[in-house]
Amino acid sequence: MSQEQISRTSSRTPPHGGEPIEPPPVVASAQRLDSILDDISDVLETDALTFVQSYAQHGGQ
Amino acid sequence: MTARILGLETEYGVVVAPKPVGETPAPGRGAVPSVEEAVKLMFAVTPNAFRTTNHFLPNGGRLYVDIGSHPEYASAECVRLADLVANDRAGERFVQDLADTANATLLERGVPATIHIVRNNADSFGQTFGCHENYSASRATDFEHLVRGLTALLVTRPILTGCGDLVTDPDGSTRFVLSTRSEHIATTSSADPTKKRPLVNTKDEPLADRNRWRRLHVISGDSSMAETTTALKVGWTALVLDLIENGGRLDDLLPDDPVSAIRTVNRDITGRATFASVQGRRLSALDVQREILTRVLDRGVAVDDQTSWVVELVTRSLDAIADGDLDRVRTELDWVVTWRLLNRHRARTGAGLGDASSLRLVLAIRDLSSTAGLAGRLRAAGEMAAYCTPDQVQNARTTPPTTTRARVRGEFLDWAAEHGHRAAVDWGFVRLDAPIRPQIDLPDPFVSSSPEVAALRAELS
Repeated sequence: MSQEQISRTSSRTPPHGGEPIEPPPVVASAQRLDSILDDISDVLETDALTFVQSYAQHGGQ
Repeated sequence: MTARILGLETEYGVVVAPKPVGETPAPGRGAVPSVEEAVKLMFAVTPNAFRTTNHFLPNGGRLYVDIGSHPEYASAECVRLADLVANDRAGERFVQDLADTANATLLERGVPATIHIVRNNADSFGQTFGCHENYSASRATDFEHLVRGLTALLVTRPILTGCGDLVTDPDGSTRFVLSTRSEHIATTSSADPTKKRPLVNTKDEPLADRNRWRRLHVISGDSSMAETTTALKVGWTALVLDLIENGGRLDDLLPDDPVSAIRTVNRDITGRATFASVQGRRLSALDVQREILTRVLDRGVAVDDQTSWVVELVTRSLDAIADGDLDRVRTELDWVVTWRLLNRHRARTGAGLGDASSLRLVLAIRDLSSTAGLAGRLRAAGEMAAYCTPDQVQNARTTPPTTTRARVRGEFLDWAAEHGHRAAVDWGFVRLDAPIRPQIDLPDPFVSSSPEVAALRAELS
């Protein structure tokens, strides 16, 4: 089977009814990320170091 | 893509975070629990909630506490990538539900702390835990050949499937890496994944008829947040397994020193850093991944919808990385999502990679909480792609995949609970302990119905 054959059938849409893959336009992407970061500014600004240092686990597998 | 049994075992991290001072209840209420106590509190509800032994669930998965007090969800046996992704996401919701219930208890008790579930693979101090991939493989294929063939793939795969993380070097500087787990790989293969972490765990535990199957246990991958990265990680690896099982060879792409090579790959987001192959060539992650893709396509792969999807994303990702145009895969690859968000945060605040806010941001991306976590927001904004529909994920919480023995086991558990029978199950059998009936083995994971189980159900319904 050639690469050409595969290319013709390649798809960005996930099988079985997954959501359409085309993402929103990239020009607005930075604004959306800004909005998300605004949304959690308290999380990032308040006791960030305490949270990070609280994350101590035993190793797993 | 050849039909094979696919599975994921995801260990979750737990943070017991003290509440900010303003939110702290009056002194003398409850003490902040340790991680072990928090996990015990989370799992205190499970036996009654799921009415099973060993926490096997009606959706075919298994929920339990693993080494190191990590909540762990093992997916049902799946054949389709969509089933696997949905079942894995269902497991994620189960674990967060347990944390939500435990947090409600902490609130009632006046404990000034919140339990956060983090879907990553290392804590802030470098202790690591895994997201293990399972692939059924034919006994007819020499296992050493299989592992040797996969090594070139697994060493360079983080350029596609890494989660994106920050690691602090011994000199105190912090750097961005493609994959958390790659920093902890110490050998190519080993049967002891806790002491010397390998790419592939060589334990021979097929959980099926051992004369027919082996279970390949890949432990070098990261937990993925984007469903598309999960599907890519498993689907691409399964396609390369097809290649190797059909006689394809990747020996010439094998790194001379796989452990050194995986570090080299991991610290370079351009995909162009090179390492020495066993043949003395200098190869990059892009070189190796492109060559593997060519061989997979030249060898001939079954054309089906999920294969086409995997091939398209591998091709587009390698082209985007080679061109330095990450926007073309900005919603589908975990590490690109993380990288872009970190860069946006740094541009807005001037924070360095090692600043607490940057480290906290990376944890927030992987925090399952709907209030403190970012994945839900990223998905809603179209900045983290989906592979399944929300309905498929919701359905996977209660319904097992219909194409494997997970269906027999899951439906058996539902039936036993409905009729007040006490069931005991494992991956390879079902049994009734009250009333007592002989164990029924399920040695073929591809068989999704059982006349013996049907007869038992008919007898006792």
